[in-house]
Amino acid sequence: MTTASTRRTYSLRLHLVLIAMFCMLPALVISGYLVLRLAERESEHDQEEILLTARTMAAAIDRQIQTQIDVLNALVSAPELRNRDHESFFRHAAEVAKGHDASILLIAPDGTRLFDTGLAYGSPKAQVVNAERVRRVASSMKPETSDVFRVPSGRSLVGVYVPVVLDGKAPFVLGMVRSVTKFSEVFTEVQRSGTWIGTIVDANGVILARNLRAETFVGQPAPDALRSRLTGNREAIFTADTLEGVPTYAASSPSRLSGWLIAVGVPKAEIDQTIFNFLKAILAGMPVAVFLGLLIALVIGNQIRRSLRALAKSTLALGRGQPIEPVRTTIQEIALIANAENVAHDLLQERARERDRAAATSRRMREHLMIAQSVAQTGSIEWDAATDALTWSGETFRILDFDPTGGQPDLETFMRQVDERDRDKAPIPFDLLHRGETPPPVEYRYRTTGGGERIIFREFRLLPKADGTPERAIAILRDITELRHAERKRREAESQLLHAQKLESLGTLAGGIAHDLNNTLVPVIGITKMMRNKFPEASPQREQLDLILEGGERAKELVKQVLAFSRAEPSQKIALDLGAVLRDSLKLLRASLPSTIVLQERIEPVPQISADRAQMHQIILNLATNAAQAIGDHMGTIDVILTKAGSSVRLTVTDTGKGMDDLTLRRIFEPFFTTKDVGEGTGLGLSVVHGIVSDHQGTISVTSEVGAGSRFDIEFPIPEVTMTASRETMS
Amino acid sequence: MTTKILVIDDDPLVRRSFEQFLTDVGYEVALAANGRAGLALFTKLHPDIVVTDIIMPEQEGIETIIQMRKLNPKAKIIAVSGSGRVSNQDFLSIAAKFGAAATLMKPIDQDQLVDAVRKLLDG
Repeated sequence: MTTASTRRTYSLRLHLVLIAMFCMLPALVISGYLVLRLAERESEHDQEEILLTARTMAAAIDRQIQTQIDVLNALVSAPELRNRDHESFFRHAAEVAKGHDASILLIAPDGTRLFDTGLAYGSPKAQVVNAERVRRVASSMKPETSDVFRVPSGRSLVGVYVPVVLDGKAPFVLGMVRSVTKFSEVFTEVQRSGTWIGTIVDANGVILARNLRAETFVGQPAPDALRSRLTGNREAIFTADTLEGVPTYAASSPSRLSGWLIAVGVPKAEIDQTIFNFLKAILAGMPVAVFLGLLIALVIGNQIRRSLRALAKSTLALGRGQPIEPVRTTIQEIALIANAENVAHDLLQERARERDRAAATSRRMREHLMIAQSVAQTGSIEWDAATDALTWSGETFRILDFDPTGGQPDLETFMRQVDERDRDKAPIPFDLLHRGETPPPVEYRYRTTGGGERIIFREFRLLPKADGTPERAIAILRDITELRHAERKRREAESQLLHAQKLESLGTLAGGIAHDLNNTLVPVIGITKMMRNKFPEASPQREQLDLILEGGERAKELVKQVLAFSRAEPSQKIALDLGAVLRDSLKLLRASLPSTIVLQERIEPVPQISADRAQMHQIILNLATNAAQAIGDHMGTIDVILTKAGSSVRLTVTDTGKGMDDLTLRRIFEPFFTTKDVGEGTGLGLSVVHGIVSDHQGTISVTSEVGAGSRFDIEFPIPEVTMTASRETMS
Repeated sequence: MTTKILVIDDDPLVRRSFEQFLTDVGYEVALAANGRAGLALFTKLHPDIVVTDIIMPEQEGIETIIQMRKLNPKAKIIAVSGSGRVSNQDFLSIAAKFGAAATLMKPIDQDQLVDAVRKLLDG
């Protein structure tokens, strides 16, 4: 497991919230700026709208004035005027004036009023109020509009004056005077909502008309802010306080035909309120937007967190090798990781299965090796070139008789068990191994801790690296004790078989010779006997023939013995108690043995065997004779023992004579082999014994030590029937 | 009338020794060197006693005894053997089973042979 970072961590939601905040902050600043700009624009727009209103009103005023000028110009061309028929013209003009709710005046260029339709024709002439203006019109011959003037009746009026041009001169000026209230009509023409203040200021800065509280302010001087606009740039946007003292955004526009100024003001509060409302709406929307943004960030954060938690869970499961649950997510990248984890899970599963299989194979191979080593009784030792470390297999422990749980013994402990004679061979020749030379196979004798003798065989196989230098070596270790024993036994058996075959062929040969000798002896003995009887007793011829007869008889005896060896002489086997035979034989023997030899006997009751009585006598006789001859003139003992040994009856004859060397031992059963001086023995005694024993399916073995004596063991098998019988008797 | 004895033996030493033993006591002796010749003489001479060796070339003794017993079931036969070249075979006892009235082991002297003949003739 990786150690968790010690750095502080913050939740994804917090990160997302921060991102949302940081993203929104410039947006907020920009939108704030934009809102302000917008408000400004809105304000400008409003002000321009105000200007537009002012212009529209100015145009409306000019239209009215122009209408009056047109009306007056139409009157100018009236024939009554040309004809100087002022009275008729008066009536005409009065009618027109009535239609326009005005008074029409005919004025002389000096300003003298010739008539006024508002007055009766013929009323006293008098200077008109605007005499100066009339004179200017008469001289310039251009129409003019007056400023506001007040007549004694208290009404405020405005006059429009046009020259009456006749023959290139202006002998009259025609004027139309109307109440300023007529001009108030333009305020109604303007379609404008909300509170606004429309003011018409004449060139003198006097208020000519006003849409609000006209009765109070018409005729009053306009505020300074308006009056200052009468000169210079008369079309302008500005701020000004109204006469009521209300601060306004204002605009002014001049009337072309009159030199008046039309001003429109909207209370600042009105416009600002609108903008403020607008701003308020925007500013109120912002926190909502922020809140919504954060909410969305949280929702998305939650979704991501859920996906990531599921991912973390599946990653942990992946690590633990547990089945992983599918991660449900709408996030492509997480789905990608989850998919990758699925693939990784499959790969890991596959790898785990491969590992399991490999482990199982490895386990099976280890078992295989262990069993194979056990069955083959072959252990192994692995040598590692880099460390000189040796690793014993289980079978090696068994062969060298060490407990595997105690670990491998050190060299000294191991060497203590090796036979002294082989201590130079047993240690592992590390120098050879390091040189990359395969050590020659060795055999050494070994003592197990239990005291058993073992013969250990060891052979090396080098495992070199690619460059030829040794990397490892495997020594196989084999307990060849049994093999060596078996080999020795086989060699012995082979030699015994060879010996037996030799005796067999000798026997056959001897049998053949004996047969012919018997034939030969027929005339020698038979004819000699016949002839001998034909001579008188004590005659030399009879004595001579007796010598031939004696020779013949000895030859006959020899042939008999040879035949016994060759088993050619028929034997008569009967159920025989060997003990009884033995006792009889020993009785005879005792009499014939010299007093220097002690004959000891131990005859145990034994089951009957199938044997020829005479031949048994002969065996005992021959063996005893042989023993006595081995003792010779010395003091000595002959032991004769009869016992039951397993399924056999064993006859043992031991002497304390001179003994025999190996060479002699190997040949003693050969016929005519003798160690005795010529004339002392026939050399047939032991070969006859061998022949008889073989004929009885018995075995004979001899051990001897020069100077200590010899021991003959003869075993005859107990017949099945006798065995059963004796067992019954015993029970 | 003299007693006629047929001696069958492949060894002339034995044959002629037996002839000496038997003629010495007055018997008439005929000799054959093998079983076939012996059987021919047996048919021709009708001997009172037959003395035959067991192991012989041409026709051995046991076979000869069987043939003779066929020709004359009352034939009196003495089987003689110097023991066989083949080990462990009790030929004499076999011969006895097939009709040899007496069996003798070589080497035998005059007394043994004549005793056997007389016992047979008396019996």
